[in-house]
Amino acid sequence: MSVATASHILEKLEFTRDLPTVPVVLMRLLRYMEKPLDQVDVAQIVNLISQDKSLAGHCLQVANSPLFGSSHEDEVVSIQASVMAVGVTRIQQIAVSCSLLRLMPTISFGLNPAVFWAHSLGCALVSREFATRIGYPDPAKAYVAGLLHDIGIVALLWVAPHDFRRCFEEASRHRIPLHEAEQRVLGITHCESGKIIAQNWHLSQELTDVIVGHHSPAIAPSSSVLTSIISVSDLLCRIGGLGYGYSEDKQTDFTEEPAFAILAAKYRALRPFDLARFTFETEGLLEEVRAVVSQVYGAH
Amino acid sequence: MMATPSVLRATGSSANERSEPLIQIRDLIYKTAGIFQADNKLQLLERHCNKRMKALGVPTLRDYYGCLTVNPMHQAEMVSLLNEVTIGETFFFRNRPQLDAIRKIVLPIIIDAKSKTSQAPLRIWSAGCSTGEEPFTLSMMLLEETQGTLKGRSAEILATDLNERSIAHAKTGCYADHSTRHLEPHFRNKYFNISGDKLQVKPEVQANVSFSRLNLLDDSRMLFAKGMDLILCCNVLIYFDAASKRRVIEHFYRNLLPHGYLLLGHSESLFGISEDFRLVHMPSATAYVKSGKDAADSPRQP
Ligand SMILES: C[S@@+](CC[C@H](N)C(=O)[O-])C[C@H]1O[C@@H](n2cnc3c(N)ncnc32)[C@H](O)[C@@H]1O
Ligand SMILES: [Fe+2]
Ligand SMILES: [Fe+2]
Repeated sequence: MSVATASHILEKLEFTRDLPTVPVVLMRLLRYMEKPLDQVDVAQIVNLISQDKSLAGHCLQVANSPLFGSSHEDEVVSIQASVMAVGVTRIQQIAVSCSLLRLMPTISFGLNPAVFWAHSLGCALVSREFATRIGYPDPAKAYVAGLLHDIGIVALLWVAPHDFRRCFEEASRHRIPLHEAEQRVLGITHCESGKIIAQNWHLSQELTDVIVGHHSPAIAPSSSVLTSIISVSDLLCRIGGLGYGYSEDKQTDFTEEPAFAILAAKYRALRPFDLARFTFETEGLLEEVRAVVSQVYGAH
Repeated sequence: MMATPSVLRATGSSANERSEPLIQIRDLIYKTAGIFQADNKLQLLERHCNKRMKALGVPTLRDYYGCLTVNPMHQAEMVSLLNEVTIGETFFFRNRPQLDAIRKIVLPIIIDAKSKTSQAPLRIWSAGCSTGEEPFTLSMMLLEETQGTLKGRSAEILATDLNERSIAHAKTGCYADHSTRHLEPHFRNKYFNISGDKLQVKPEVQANVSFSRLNLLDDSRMLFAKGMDLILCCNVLIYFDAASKRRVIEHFYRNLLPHGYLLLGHSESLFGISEDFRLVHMPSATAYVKSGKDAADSPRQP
């Protein structure tokens, strides 16, 4: 029965016409963000964001939070000003994060949309910090990958919301990882549904690999470093109370995580690494994420 | 507006740009005491520093950083600052995520390990228990779990502190509002009697707990607390220098059974102090388990 469900869902994802189209702004931003910093056209980005009033509003809320290192004392009131305050790279990161809001269902099928967005945003930030800390050369890429890693969940919510609800209930009842519950209930996980979306949207190979492999980094293809960074960050978020709205009652030893081993083999900074300290830093960061998310969702 | 024109600022710089000396003080505290103040706690840290600066008549954070480093009295000043930071206080249910982790994750693992080897009671040590709120919190939690997780196994809690007056207070089991402010009605009603304007812990909660004065740096007496399943040493080691910390941790290692757990206070870490323990994560809590020769099972392949 679960096999039928699985192929049914995947088919629906491949062929259905009623998937929401990917937000144009999101696609453009992703493309811009792949350019080197000195080729970035700031005016173009400011225009793109400012045109969409609701997106711009959300961006300003996030830009004015402590989360994005805005040390400015006065509130910024335009996208133009926020670029001055937090920098163009961060404005792009804020904007892709907020354009994800557009894709969220407005009602909850077990998983609360605000919780999911908080998890994505938290994972983006933790990935960026972790990438920076270990010496990964492109923390901005880690940010985007962290943000979109669970896009397969959004996909499941579109085509099979009630099946997804069953997965979610199974996961929260047994306090197990969501992807394990999906596998049990549906026979597929959000990694597989994510793959179809990633291909539909023509996301880069690296992003696709993260979306497909973040729960099995040891067997992911080519770019397992980025996948591993996201895998570790995802775990840190779930442990730090910014998972999917329930806590997984288990003990995690990061030195036994395949993702951690992959990174430790490559980066000196991880041998040894003060993971306790990074965890405490993450806790602080996640508290700030929570504050911003409740602000954005409160004002929805 | 004090924003720097930073249109092309690189990504990934640390989350917040806060004042340099404050960050230095944060890092100094972490280095000397092993307790970390996350970015969102920096404002609070600044307030603690300001209080000390007022007392000393020091005008800026930069000067105050000097008091904590080059000044001949810097060690004493660090103790004073730590007193502000940690507030030498304690209360019931102080660290809830940690208690949840004990109840839902640590105890089941310990009980499982014990069931294979012995009938011995569960042994828990609250090291640096102050006036007793921490061991009594544990005692109540164990009473709740007697038939559940503990499967009827009895439990003993050893509670020790250096401070004689604290131990004397703990033995009375009598507490004022401040200590009981985070006590849920369920526990308040079930395990306390009202005694004037105070709350008195019921005898059944006291029965599991034995208090005694103990200096954690007293090597000869530290040898006696053997056969522990779980040691809590929360908000205590922050006052110790690295060498003393190492000594205490070595004792804890020897006093713990192979499957034993060591839990520290919120945001405390053993990084750079001990290789005998490895860090494990639980929801919103961290813990240490034995690594190396005396570990329950050697999980890591060579
Ligand atoms: C902040 S209280 C911690 C109370 C409790 N563990 C908690 O976390 O709420 C710190 C305690 O450590 C004790 N302490 C400090 N140095 C000690 C030592 N060398 N041996 C034993 N206890 C010590 C102090 O007397 C004080 O009661
Ligand atoms: Fe995932
Ligand atoms: Fe995730």
